[in-house]
Amino acid sequence: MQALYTPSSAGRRKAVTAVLLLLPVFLFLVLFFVWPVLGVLGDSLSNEAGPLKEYANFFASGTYLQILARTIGSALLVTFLCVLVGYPYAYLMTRTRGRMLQVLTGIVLISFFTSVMVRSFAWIILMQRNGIIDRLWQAMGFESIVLRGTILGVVIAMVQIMLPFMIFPLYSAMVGIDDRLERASASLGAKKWTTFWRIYFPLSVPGVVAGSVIVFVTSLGFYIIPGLIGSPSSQLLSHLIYSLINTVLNIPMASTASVVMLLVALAVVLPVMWRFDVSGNVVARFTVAEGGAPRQSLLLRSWAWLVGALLLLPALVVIPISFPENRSFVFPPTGFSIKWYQNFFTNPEWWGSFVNSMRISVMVTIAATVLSVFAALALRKVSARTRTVVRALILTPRIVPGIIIAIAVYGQFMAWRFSGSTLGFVIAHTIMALPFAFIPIAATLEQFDKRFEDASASLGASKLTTFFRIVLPLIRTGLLTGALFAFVISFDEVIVSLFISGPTLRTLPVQMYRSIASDIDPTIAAASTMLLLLTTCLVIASMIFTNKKVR
Amino acid sequence: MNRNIGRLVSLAALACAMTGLAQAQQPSQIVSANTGGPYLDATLEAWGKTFTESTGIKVIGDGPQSLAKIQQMVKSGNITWDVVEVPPVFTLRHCGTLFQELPADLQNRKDVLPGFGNACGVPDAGYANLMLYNTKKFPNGGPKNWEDFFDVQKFPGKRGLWNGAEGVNLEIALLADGVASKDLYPLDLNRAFAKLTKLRPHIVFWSTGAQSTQMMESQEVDMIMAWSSRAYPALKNNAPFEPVWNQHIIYNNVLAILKGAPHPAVSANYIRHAIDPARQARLAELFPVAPAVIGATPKLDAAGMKIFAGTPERAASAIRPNLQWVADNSAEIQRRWTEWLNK
Repeated sequence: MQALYTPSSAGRRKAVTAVLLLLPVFLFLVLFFVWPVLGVLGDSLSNEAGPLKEYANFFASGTYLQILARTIGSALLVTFLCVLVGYPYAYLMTRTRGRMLQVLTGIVLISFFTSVMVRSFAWIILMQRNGIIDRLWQAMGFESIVLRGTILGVVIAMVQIMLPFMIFPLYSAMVGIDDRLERASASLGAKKWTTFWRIYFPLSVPGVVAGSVIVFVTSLGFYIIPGLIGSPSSQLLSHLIYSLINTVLNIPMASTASVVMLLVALAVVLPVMWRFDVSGNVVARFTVAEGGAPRQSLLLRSWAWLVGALLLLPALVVIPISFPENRSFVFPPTGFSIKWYQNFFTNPEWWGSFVNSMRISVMVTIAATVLSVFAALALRKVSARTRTVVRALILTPRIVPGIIIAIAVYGQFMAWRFSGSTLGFVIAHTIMALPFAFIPIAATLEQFDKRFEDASASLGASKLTTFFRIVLPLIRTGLLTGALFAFVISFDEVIVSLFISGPTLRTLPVQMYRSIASDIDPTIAAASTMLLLLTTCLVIASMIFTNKKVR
Repeated sequence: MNRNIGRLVSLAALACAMTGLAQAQQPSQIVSANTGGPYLDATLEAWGKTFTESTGIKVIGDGPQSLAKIQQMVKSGNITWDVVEVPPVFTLRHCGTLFQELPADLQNRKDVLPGFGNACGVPDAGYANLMLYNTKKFPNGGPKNWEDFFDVQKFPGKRGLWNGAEGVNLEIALLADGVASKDLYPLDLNRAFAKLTKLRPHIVFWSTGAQSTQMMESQEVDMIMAWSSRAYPALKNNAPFEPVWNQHIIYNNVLAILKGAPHPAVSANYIRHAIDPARQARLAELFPVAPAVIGATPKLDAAGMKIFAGTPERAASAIRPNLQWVADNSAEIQRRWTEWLNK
């Protein structure tokens, strides 16, 4: 032991510390994420007639190829529409200040933090026959339109749900563009459009790329919307994988379809990661700058309000739907009753699943935050190359489509008897929450000045004291942001949870999914209304809080 | 560190010992699974509650079940369902492999409608695969048979159809195409799918019973093939739908125990409890399935009477599927259905 303290081994000691700090997150991801995903790959190669036989079957089937093409096509369409809709909004955000910026930011945050299940449920209500969209459409003199069960309906709902993932990175790329460049261009006689296309847009491309990658990959493996809004006769790949597992139990083919999807995702992600620093932009930080800003054109402002309405309004439909007399989702509801609210608090299925979700989310928050802090501390001690590798490993769960993590974890957890247990949920959710917790935590630790630590050490403080008294308070904001994201991701997670939940342990999103798919239970509307209120209050409160701090 | 490992090991040993003990003893709860939703609630109310009262064993519900989930459970040995209600095709096809043989008194019972039960399954709930039409859309008389259901010229509008292959959709397509009910089997798959293809643009699929109920309530379709019992909540909520008691296909689901299920004796007791005539009647009153057991006499309300498949006339006029044939050809039917669905 003594030998370690000779000066020549200081570097090695640093390396040992780094390895020890990295070990938990490394072991965790390899064991619970990489290994199960490799298991899927193994299953896809398990055909007795030859390892690639299942792939041959996949590509020989006109049906599967059509589904694959439809899936890629709709993911591309969703991505394109998100850029189109989100770009002007993000641009306006960078060109406004004060109250207006806060409102624009708040709208995106509320939408982002509103549970995916709540927003999906709202779209189902809106898109059903005789729903609001159908009625408006007919009132305008058109023939009845039922978007539920169509690819168009799926795409519209996905665009709305993915938009925040596009606006965040767009904004953080655009906010760094110096507006003097535009003025310089204008002063040299360039027209507005020329300036935009030649100067501004190229500078914002990293944001477009980062947002597009995330939206594309998430759309590719999104099960909830295609599963609930889409039709069995116009399946998407995630839908196919789900039914291959849950109706015909063709694990080899489900695994093959998953690997194909993963390859499509990687084919898009890898070249992009090569050229752009995507990782930093996945979760953006908002800064509220003070002072005046030039007034933007009416067209731009109207567009932003339309997008804001698209982000906020659809979810509101859950409010009237939560008070019906009958067990039904019909719009407009008949009668008035608060029994669905009572049911939420008294029915063990609902209240129990809510308690489960809270418990699991808290544990995930702790696990993801601790693992992230360890990893982020280690990153300060290693070479740039190691840093890239570690960062890539931790962020990988974000770029692997959700349905693939679901089938991987499902197969492996079944074998390990983790399925339907709290431990299983905590592990699965932590995998998915890690990237979100890690980014803000690593970012604040990177900015953190090493000299504070040195000063503390030179005054005789031990390493632990320094960590708890100096480092922790200074990285508090990043830590809280990371923890908050971890909590929300876990609380909201539904794809993996659908696979690993059992009759004795369900989370709230799973219960909500069931109540749409198989129960038709308006308690989901009551639960959604309360979640919506809670989210809105929290976002507004936190904005008021940060606003006060800035002043 | 060493002490911690020691503690962990002894904890694990204790946990193993406890599960072993629990398996030997009476369980504190069992899980009963079926198609889910309000029907699940009704079975828990009619059977589960009284079972708990008499045995002290809690009954938890789960659903919807699926063949894949059953296969997965049996394969992994991680069986969470103690009693499961399944379509009879499952038990006819997988008796002894996925489902265990029941105690002698539950096998091939005589007091039930023949053709559904076997050594692994006891009929517990009957229903009709039934056509209903929207009376607002067709106020002057709606479709009268499956031929009308497939005739979009005479009766324009959306049709709700179950997203599944076995026992219904191919049969009604053939009936609509002029095949007599006695000549249905062996099914002419090509002819059936050709007929379905013509209707394809007008079909809206439902996957769970609750979705079919919702389709009637929101009037998403103008006519529908529904499981009769699932029409009950919709009619109760005044959905404007009228059943057509002609060419309906009768079905009985069965209760079964998965192979390797942890408490087969308790599960069998639960099945005996469920098929008692009084409790069969009680279930039908809560959710109008037709009692599977002869001698059960439920008292039904008006909506219940409308869709009750168990009246003597409706039972007599019903078409009975040849489920053994369906079970024997299940793999091929499934394959063709998936292919057709994704075309």
